[in-house]
Amino acid sequence: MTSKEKQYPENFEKRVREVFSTRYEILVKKTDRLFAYLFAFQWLMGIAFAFLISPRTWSGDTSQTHIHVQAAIIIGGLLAALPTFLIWKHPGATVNRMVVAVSQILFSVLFIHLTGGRIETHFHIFGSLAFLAFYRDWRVVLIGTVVTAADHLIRGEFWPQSAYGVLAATPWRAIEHAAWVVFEDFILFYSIKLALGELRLACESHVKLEENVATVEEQVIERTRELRESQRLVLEQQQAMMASSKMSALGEMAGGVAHEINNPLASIKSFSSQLQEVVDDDPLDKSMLKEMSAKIEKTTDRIAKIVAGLRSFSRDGSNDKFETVNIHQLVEETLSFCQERFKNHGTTVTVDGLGIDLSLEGRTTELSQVLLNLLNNAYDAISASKEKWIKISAVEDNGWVEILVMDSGKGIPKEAEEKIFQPFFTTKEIGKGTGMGLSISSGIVRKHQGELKLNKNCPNTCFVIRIPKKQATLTSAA
Amino acid sequence: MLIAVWGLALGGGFWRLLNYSNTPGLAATEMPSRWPFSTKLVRETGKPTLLVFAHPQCPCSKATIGELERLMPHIQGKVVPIVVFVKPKKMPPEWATDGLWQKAVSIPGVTAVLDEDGAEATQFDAKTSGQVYLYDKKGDLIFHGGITPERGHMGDSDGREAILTFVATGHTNISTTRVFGCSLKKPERAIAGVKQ
Repeated sequence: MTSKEKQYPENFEKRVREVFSTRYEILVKKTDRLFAYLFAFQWLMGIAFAFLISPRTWSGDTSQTHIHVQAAIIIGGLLAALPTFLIWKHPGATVNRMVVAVSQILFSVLFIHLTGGRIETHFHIFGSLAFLAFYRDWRVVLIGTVVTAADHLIRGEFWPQSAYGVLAATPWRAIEHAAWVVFEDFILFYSIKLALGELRLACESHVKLEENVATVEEQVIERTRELRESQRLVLEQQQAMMASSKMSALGEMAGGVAHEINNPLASIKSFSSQLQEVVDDDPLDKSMLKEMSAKIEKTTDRIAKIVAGLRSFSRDGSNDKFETVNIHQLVEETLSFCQERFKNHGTTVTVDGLGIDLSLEGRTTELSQVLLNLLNNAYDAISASKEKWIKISAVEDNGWVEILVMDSGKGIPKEAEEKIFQPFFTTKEIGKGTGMGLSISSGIVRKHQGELKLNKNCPNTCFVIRIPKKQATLTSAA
Repeated sequence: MLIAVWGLALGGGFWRLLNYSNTPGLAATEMPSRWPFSTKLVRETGKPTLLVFAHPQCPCSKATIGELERLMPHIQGKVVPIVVFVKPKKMPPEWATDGLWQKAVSIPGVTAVLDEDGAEATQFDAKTSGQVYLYDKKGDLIFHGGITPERGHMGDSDGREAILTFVATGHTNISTTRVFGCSLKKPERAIAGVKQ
């Protein structure tokens, strides 16, 4: 017994009875339909017997239709009609199978007459009792038996020779006839009992399964809720780590960015000093004045661009819509955060083969973050090398855009190749980098339905960002 | 109510059918008590003769011929069976020799004879198909009647019992039984009290 069975035995029993009742009803309806077809077949079979065996009765040289033909059509039709009607009108009703039992045995009686009392036709009675047992209702078999007995009794009373063939039949003949039927009845009653017992067991198993399923469903709902909560926490942490990674990247380049801005500020200061000197000149050198002002304006624009780029980089672009991203512009803007720093530390950056019109659909901010991450990694990897260069290129290939970031390093060690995209994996010394950069960058590129991979065939270290030129839809669904 | 009406209709139908099956045909009343000299049928002296009159097309007599076949293992060599098929004058010979005739001649030891226009049937006063006569070796009539329990049905019967007892013991207590079958000649109402 399950815990619920122990807890609520009445409920369990009630549910078992409900399931039993439903299944039994299905069985009875199926059996009803079987008999409906059987009756139609038997009616036709009776007519066939009559036409084949005794079609006409004779008187010298004249003949007329034999009464057997009329009996086959009319009596056979009656025997088939009522049960079929009841089955059609009220399938599964108890009265149906009682009428079926009477009808089926009377079909046996009719066939025995139509076939001239052949011994073989008597088998139909025994077969019919077995068919009636399909209802798994002992009363139906009993009714069939009673009809069989009544047929013998009535014929024995009114037409004694028709029952056993001789007028002076001994009582043993009646007992012998009855014994065979009773013998079969016992077997059928027992088989019905067994079948009902098995049906009951099946219903009990079904109810237990129902209860188990309900329990499992409850558990699944609870676990799903817990899982969703965990997923939410993981997502929050991921986003926090992404933000932290971004901040970390920003922090890393803070020095470089400060340098990027300081240089033009120093230029502006120098131009302002020169301007003050020019203003004091007599006569006023207007062309010099204009030249100095233009230089100041240009330098100011440069600072504004760097600041705008920083602001754009630092915002959360994960919900931005996909838009057309010009690769050339993307690379230029990203390089503005770090190119000066790289140059000051002896790392040359070359941009190669970027067509002005090369573009793809994506999120500018996120792609910029990926590119900056690759550039910073490259810079860190070759910082101690004698040869320090970074090359950025891009190609369009059959509906895909590939952006390559290659550095002068000698490649990633074989044992690290599979791990570098895993979260928290890093080859940098402690305190330098969180190990999230490539993992997050890889995630961003996958959101663009692309792939960030290491080109293992390159003699140097070469990362490839491969993204389809067109996204499936121009939404932020990724 | 519907079931009651149905039951009554069925009861009436089966009653009619059973009544028909158990209503005999006209029995012989003026049969010769000794083998008639005027008959063209040949009797084998020294052995009893079993004479069976049959209508060639009577469906009920299938049971009679079937019962004859059932008797043969018990009477073979002891009794001479002759089946006389009564053919109305206007019917062609093949009308008489298809069907039941073929079944009769296929039984080993049985002789089939064609009775043109029922001359022999008249001699022996056989009116109903399935009429059987048992004459002993001296030519005395021992038994006359049918050897089926009801119309068209095979099975144990008093007629069968009479023949078997005679063959075994030389005498029998049953001298006559009812005959079930079609009328050998028209236009009599061969089945007393029952419409054909």
